[in-house]
Amino acid sequence: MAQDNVSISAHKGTGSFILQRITALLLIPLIIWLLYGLVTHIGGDRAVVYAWLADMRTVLPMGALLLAMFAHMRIGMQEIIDDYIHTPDLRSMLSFLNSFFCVLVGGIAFWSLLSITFTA
Amino acid sequence: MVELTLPKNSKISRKGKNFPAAKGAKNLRTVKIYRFDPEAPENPRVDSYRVDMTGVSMVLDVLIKIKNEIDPTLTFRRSCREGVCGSCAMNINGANTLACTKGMDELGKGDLHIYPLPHQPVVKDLVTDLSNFYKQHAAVAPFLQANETPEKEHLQSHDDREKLDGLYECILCASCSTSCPSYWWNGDRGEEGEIKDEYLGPAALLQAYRWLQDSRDDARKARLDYLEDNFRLYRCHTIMNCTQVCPKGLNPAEAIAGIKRMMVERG
Repeated sequence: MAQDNVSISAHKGTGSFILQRITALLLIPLIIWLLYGLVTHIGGDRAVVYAWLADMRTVLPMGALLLAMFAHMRIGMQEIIDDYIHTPDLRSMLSFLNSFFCVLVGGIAFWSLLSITFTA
Repeated sequence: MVELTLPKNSKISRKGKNFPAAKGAKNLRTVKIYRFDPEAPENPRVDSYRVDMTGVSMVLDVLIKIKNEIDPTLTFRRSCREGVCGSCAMNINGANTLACTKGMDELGKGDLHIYPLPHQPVVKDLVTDLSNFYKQHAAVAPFLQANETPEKEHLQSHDDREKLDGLYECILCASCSTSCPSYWWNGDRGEEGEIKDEYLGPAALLQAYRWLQDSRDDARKARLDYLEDNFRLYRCHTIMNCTQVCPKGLNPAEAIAGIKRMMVERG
């Protein structure tokens, strides 16, 4: 019976399952690093923070943090949509908006980071 | 959207009946039972029975006593009365379990609250319609699929046989699936006779894993292909209610984790 139904299986979910766990693991040290970075710059002026963000030792982990965070956020929101939105059309639309929002906001954050790096 | 309110005519009314204790009865306890007849033009109600617990050891004994001595209209399923058939699964004091294996001494003091299995259509009182649950069980093909037919039987090593322990003992009582919030939200989404955008639930996935673990079975790829679905498998969020309530002490959550591990390993 299972074989008969293979054709209507979505064949998806494993990729998101793996990515969700990888990004979750990555975010643990990256968030700790971010908090440490923010705490050590308390009281610093704009130029100091700008210089910190422009440093390549900051850009790489910050870029990884943004990538992992927005990928994780997209998957998490998608889980909520799949759990609670039962109308197929509405679910498709919200899934698209979720991806669109994460790419847009993540892209802006990434672009901001790079622009600081190359203009500082 | 998910239904956060009760369907029409399913809200419990306050018109429950009270059945006082028989004269001279001792060792009394109040038993509150959900009552509903879909053919009657009334909302569900909760009836209260004052029952003499002398000589009563299991919850099923209480129900049988009520039906025999107090209210013959009370409807519930029961058969083996020893935790083998799964017929008397119901929600007792907030947890799904078998009435026949739930001892009164496990339920402390105070009132006893008995409801049908959650989030299933009620046929009458404590009897639920498990058609969809059985359809999901059938969907995972819970039978041996071997490419070759041996002359006698399919042989299996002791080690391979041991892998099935904790998996084959499921009695399909539906306590696990109907205790799972993910199953409440997404357990009945498919159209009639079809499983689409629908979570199969802990019981069906436990059975799926039982056959995935069977060394004699040759349909592993097809089984995994069928299960690799955002809804059928991945609606499980490891809430663990299934493992918490299983009256046979099985661990469906671990079985589901095992299927996910197989999915990851095959890439």
